Amino acid sequence: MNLASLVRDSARRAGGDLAVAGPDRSVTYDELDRAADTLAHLLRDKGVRGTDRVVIWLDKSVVAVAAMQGALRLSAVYVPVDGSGPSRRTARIARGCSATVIVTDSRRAAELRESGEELPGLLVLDGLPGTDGRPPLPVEQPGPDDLAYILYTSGSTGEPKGVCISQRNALAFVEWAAAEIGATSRDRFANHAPFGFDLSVLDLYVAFRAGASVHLVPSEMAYAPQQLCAFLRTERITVWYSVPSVLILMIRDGDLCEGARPPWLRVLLFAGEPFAVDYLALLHRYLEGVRLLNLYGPTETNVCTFHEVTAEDVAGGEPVPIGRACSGDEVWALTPGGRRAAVGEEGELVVDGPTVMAGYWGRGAQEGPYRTGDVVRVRADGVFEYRGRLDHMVKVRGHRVELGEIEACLSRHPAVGEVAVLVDGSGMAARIVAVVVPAGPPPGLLALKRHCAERLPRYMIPDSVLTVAELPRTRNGKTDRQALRDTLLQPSGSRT
Amino acid sequence: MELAAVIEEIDGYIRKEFLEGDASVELTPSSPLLEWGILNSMNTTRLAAFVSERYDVTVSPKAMRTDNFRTIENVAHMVLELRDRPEA
Repeated sequence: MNLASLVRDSARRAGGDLAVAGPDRSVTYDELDRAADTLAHLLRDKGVRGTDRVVIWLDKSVVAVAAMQGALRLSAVYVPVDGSGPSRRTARIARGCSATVIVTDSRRAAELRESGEELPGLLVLDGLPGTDGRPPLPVEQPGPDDLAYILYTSGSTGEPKGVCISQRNALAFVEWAAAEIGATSRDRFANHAPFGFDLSVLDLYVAFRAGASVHLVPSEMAYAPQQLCAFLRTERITVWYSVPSVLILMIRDGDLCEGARPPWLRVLLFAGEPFAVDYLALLHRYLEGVRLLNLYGPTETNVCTFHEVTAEDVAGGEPVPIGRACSGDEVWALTPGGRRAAVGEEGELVVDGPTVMAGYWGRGAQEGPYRTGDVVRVRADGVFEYRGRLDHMVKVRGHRVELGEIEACLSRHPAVGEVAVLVDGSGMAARIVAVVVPAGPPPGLLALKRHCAERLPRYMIPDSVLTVAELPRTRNGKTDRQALRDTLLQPSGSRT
Repeated sequence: MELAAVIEEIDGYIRKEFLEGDASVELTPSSPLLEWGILNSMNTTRLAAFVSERYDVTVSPKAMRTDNFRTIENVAHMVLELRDRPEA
């Protein structure tokens, strides 16, 4: 079994069943199977062979899914890039992983050509291509250690990091999730996360494995609460997976916890950041009978622990734990002294097992267990509680952001002397604040936004700029972020 | 309400909410809001909520597409269209 055969097998079992409903069109399993074969041909015509990288830069759509499947059928490695991101970042990622081709549409292809960046071949698709009568290519059978896809995440040094996921890595998670959810062909999965974000792996592949349908939420709708609640009902979603920020928005500004309960919904999963317990309690009460699952894991390990929310969890007023190991992984906490944390102690969460990535692209293989940088506490019942980060990685509405990457980008602007980036507030109210020591006349917010928008994904663009004469330093010369926070930002919680 | 008036109000909202009230910023009705990093998905949603409240229109899931939010002009055209043909 591999990520390509999941679709092919479901097409053989029930080819007429709905596979993907996208903003562009809907396809049955038979249609997706044929589209994947066509895409495999087109990619092969562009020179793609097994293990080559195929960057996919498209809106969330059936075409994008078919392109991913087409690459997998050649045993190639797909690299999904944020459809709303800048062309320069796409080009840089393609160069970084020596991609053979970028699959995109004509508008984005024009942007890529205008960017002046060095480009690989382009496969331009403005819709699902029709079959050209060629018989399907012989099936390539990837080995378990062959890479399936690469997900790029924010890197602290200023360059995004490519997390390489093998067939084995992905399938270990998909198998676990399918069993835990009890997915069947009658399920209707929502896909909220962008394809470049690992939450989408559950939506797509657990659905394909079960022969269920997956319903794509267009990216423009991603934070529109009323539209999302309407989507949940009209698409008759049975399994929903998103970051907590989005669910809170749907509770607060939509009608998720009012009026008619979404009658088909049976499992609701969330991951990426802690869930404010007041809202979780509301959800638990309102959606009685719907399973609520907290999934945890950095992109590097996919999901390695999970916890099913209980009435006791939400009654306590404490954040719900991240739970116990899953997906066949072993998970423990390492104390600063280097031993396994005992009950009640804190330590860095370490993961070993089948979901741990093959490595970062171009930086050698991952050897042994993966250290997450997340600090956890071990509860008496063996369950882990999330406590915080060891470094400057933050979550902005569930997106993983290295402040250093934004700082590196801003520091390349000619008007910026020194810069430190902070996040003010949390959840939906989180704002990225750039604190700038100007190199001359102070740069305006729009100038800095435009500079960043050409290089960073949209969720990493600063919301505001503060100009200061100098940055406070710690004794060893590093920027004193805490002092900056204390002097510049309002006390946390005062913003709404 | 005319197109020009809607454009002016949306321009005012964007400057106030997303550009720290900077009136001197060179923003025109055809400036690319997405490419310049003014609208991310969060701000797009806030803008949609603003226009639906201000002009009493329903921004349907179908209307929440990139094209409608590319420029201030596009947003204003969407508003007028939604008001004239609510199902658009």
